[in-house]
Amino acid sequence: MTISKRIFIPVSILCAFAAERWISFLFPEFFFVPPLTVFVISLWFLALSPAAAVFFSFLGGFFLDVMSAFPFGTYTALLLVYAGASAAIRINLAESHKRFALPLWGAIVLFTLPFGVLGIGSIISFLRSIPFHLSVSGFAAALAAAALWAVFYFLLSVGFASGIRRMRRSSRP
Amino acid sequence: MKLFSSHWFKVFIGMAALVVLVFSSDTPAVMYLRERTLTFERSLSNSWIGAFLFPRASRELPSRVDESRRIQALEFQLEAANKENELLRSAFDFTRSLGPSADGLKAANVFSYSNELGRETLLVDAGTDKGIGKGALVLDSSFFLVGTVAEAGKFVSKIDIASNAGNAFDAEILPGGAVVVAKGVGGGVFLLDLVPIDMPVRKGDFVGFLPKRGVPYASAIFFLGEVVGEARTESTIFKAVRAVSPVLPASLTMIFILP
Repeated sequence: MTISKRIFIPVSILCAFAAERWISFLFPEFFFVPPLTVFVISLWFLALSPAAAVFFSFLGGFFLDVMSAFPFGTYTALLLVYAGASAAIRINLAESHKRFALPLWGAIVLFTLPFGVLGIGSIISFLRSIPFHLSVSGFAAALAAAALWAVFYFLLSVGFASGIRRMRRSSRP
Repeated sequence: MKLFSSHWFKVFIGMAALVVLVFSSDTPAVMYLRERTLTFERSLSNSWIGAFLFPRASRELPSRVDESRRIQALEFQLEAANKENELLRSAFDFTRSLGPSADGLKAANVFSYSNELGRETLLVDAGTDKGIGKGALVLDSSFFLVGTVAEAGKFVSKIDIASNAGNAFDAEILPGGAVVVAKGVGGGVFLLDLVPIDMPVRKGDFVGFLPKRGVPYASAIFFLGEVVGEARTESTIFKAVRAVSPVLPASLTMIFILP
């Protein structure tokens, strides 16, 4: 791992953690705050080796599980799933489509997070007999919000990338 | 072939580590790690970087000089309120045994608020060292029910907010007196079930939480929320009523726990 990655990974994750908390603190009426910490960790998976991704899954997952209201292990398992999925996407994405990797993967993470958290949480609670309630109406609202964040992020990142490309083209002599 | 088997071996090791972590999460070793992490987060929240990572309402207070003046003013107001309270008690012939005594309540500071998929959680700096156990009731300064203790560590506890989806409480609509079931639906909203269809319920009626029988404060009523309207049901015997909790968990800085 390069020195820049060693600095940027913890700084970006801490910033995402703080941003998530500030959004929920300043706008408590938001039913579903964008899960920025998991999102940023999973974005880094695209740039890391599988071993490093697994390491960050355990480290980040443990930290999030300690604070979470969901059964212990939910976030660790979810991040491990994302680590595996990001490796599969990286391998199978054609070279010509690599520039879409970041927007595509980010949108997938944002959209699948409610399924992941509630699904894995339900499985762990079933296996360990921990009371855990799955609210259908709450899940529908979370899913709608997740879809909104995913579309928003995808459009924003694609627009940003194409804007930078145009700027580079126009600056060429 | 060697590489393939090596990959599967890594996957197996990763899965085994996850299974061990999940199934041994209540063992002393993992509990120790979890508690240490939470204690570290509590210390972190009090540091300068904590102001950035763990936003809290109390951080918006003015400087220390203003703070001491404000505390003095509050102490004066408290003394006046206590005297007024005593007068009212003697006038209405109330006794202190009706509600929980101030000695039984344990105050705790909130150092983290989180909202995950609509599930709100608070982390507070009091745990089993102050006699707090799992399931203890959590109240705000106005005696409104905030939630219950979901996990109690030695120095840190996790609070499950009452209105989170899946929580249900025995409740009473005041002043009507109908005993109902208050179900949390998230976002500070409760759905009151089993309300007789002929019972008049008005907007602004209070919803009182009834503690379980046998506890020392069983005769006390804590406020859960305020009625905001009726919800449609297909039942011809009961109707559903919507109530909203006035408690804003994100802005809480101090809570009181009934162990």
